[in-house]
Amino acid sequence: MEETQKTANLNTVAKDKNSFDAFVVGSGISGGWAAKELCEAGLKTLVLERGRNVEHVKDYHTAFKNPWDFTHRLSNTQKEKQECPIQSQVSDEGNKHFFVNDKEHPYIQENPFNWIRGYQVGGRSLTWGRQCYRLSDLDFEANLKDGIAVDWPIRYKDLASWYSYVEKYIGLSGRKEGLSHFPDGEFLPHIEFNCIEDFFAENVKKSYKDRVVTPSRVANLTEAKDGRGPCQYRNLCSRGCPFSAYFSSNGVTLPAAMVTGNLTLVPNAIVVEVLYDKDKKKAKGVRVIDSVTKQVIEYYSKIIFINASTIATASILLNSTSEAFPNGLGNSSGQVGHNLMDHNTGAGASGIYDGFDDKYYYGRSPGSIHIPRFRNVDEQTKHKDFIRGYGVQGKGERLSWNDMYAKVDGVGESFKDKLTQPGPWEIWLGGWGETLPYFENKIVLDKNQKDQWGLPLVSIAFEYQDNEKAMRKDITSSCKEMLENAGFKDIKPFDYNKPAGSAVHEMGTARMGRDAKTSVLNGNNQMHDVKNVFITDGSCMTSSATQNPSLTYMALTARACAFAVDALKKGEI
Amino acid sequence: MNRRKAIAGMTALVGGAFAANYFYKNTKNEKISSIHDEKLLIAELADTIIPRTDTPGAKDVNSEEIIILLLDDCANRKTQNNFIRGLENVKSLSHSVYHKDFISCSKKERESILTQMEKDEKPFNGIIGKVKSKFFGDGFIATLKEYTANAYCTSMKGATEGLQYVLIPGKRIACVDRAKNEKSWATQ
Repeated sequence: MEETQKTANLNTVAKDKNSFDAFVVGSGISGGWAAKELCEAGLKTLVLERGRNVEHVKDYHTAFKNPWDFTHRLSNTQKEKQECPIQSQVSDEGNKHFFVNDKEHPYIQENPFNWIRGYQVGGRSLTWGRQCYRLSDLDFEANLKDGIAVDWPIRYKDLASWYSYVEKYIGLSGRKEGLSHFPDGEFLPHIEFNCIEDFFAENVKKSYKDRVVTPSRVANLTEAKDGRGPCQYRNLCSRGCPFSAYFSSNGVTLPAAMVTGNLTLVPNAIVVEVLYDKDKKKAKGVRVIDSVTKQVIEYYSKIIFINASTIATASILLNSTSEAFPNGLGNSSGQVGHNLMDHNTGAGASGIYDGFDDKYYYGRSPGSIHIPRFRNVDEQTKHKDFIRGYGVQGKGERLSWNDMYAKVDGVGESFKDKLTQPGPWEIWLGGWGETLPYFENKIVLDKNQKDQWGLPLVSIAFEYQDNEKAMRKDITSSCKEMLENAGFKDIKPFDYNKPAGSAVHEMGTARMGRDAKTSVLNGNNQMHDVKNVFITDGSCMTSSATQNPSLTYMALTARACAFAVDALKKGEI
Repeated sequence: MNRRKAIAGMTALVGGAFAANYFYKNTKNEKISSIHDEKLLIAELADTIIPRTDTPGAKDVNSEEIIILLLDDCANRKTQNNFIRGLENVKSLSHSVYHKDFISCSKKERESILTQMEKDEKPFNGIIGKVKSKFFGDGFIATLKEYTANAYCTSMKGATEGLQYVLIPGKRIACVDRAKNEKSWATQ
């Protein structure tokens, strides 16, 4: 602190002008929720976002473009693949402005790890997959039962009402299935299956007592809600939705925070570190670099929510060293940065079905099919080779020209004819597997290599172990078997062996737990060591479960905000 | 000797020479800018693949412009090299078999040349093809068909007349009866 006072370019704005009741670091899916909840509770809240501003609708400049409006017709160029080897794997000409440039934002990979990032207001809530599933006690009790890592400090009953609160607000389509390990929620009408998905679902039901094929639960509005939507079935979500028909921070939570008059949103603000007051044993503020001007600014507040995303949140904590916390803020447990998880994806199978040639569909579905976990759910479903399980996600469609050109031999009229008519029906299925929390899978800061703002580079080490590898084998064979039993042909099992990170579900680097010695956060997402700091992004996850995690982050955020506001009012923090 | 056999013989010859010189040649970066001089030939090749019928063909939507752009900016070097050599093969085949330029060949002759070249390229497809394409780049016909399809199906006329396209469907009907010969949706 003393040192910064001497920094030549330190902003010298009077301290009270830079003082707030609360900060939220990051404006992605959980940061947006924290902003809304804290502002609505009457707290003067500052949201710090490291990326540029993205205004809802106005800045979705590709949203109404046709394929022919894009120079390269949506293909990535070699130059982009070289400059952005990671982000270009998941982006295209239509949405690449919502992904970072890898060259400008480097990180170190001890082992291959795809760190997909969106540095902008709204973060990755603009490009997310929108699938939302509740965790259940099968998940919350798993670590305790297996004697792995640490126990979650919460159970389903602690979160159930918060799940409902969030689902009702965001607008979630889905169908109730009545499964205890895959709890139902507050749903808008689900997106209907097309005829091949229907056919597949019927057949899976016939062949397996333990499995159900359900419409994916996506945060797309199948009905108009609160002036948003309904979904126009363009399936161009990742360009930003001009109809506000899917949930994003930009379209929903940030505007809600803004109308309270309590929100101050500062883009281009890279949080360097959290400032700690060792006498009061509290965080007192943050030091920020303006990404454009490189000016250093300090802000002060009563409480801090860190929602920078799993890897970035851990890196902020590790960079916040002080006499009291030489290894990083709130890191007396030594767990910060460790136990990194992602969902294990890229394995599955696809198959073709002969039939239904007289059937087609209208509109492009933003949803898919989902088969909730069916392994190790109970004694009957125990698998000998691995613990935990996986959910299966997939989609059924008729092949179109972008598959057919490689499948149809010959040239000329007959080729054109087959190219321009709908091809056979295909279903692909892929597993989203639970990854166990391993201490060795971690991020650290590399003190020798710095980014353009002088901040240490993040270095990621991650390896899947035997449990994940055994699970992948089972994912491939079970997907293949389900397709076989449903009468599909040309079944192609696949395992792309994708690097970790590819599911974009990073979790675990500041885990929740009951004991300050072995975890970073308590059951209210409050730091064990620093009571006025809360972390509710993916870093808080104690185990990964199989479910797409954003819904859980949102529910935990709303719950932690209620706790924090209450504690603040009572003068406890 | 019938024409088909003649083409088969010629492509086998070219193919053999191709393999023998491969490692040497592939380390050399052939001038991709040379494809700009082949615009006319590429347009005719594309139109042979997607001819005009009751809907527009590849030439009607200027596919050659996009094919060249994709080759320039999106194809890797190996694929570019294969493409340049493929164009040379087309030229030498049409001359040795039909004694004229590809452009002067009849529709049937053009189709025979490309069909035969595709057959020669095919054994490499499938699982081995994946490995092959990684080490040797995509084959000429594979790339030509891919880029022609892409250029055509993502063009305004191709999408709206050759296929069906709607930017804002506004609703979803999960299952509809398909009209006979109804075109495929241009986007998914």
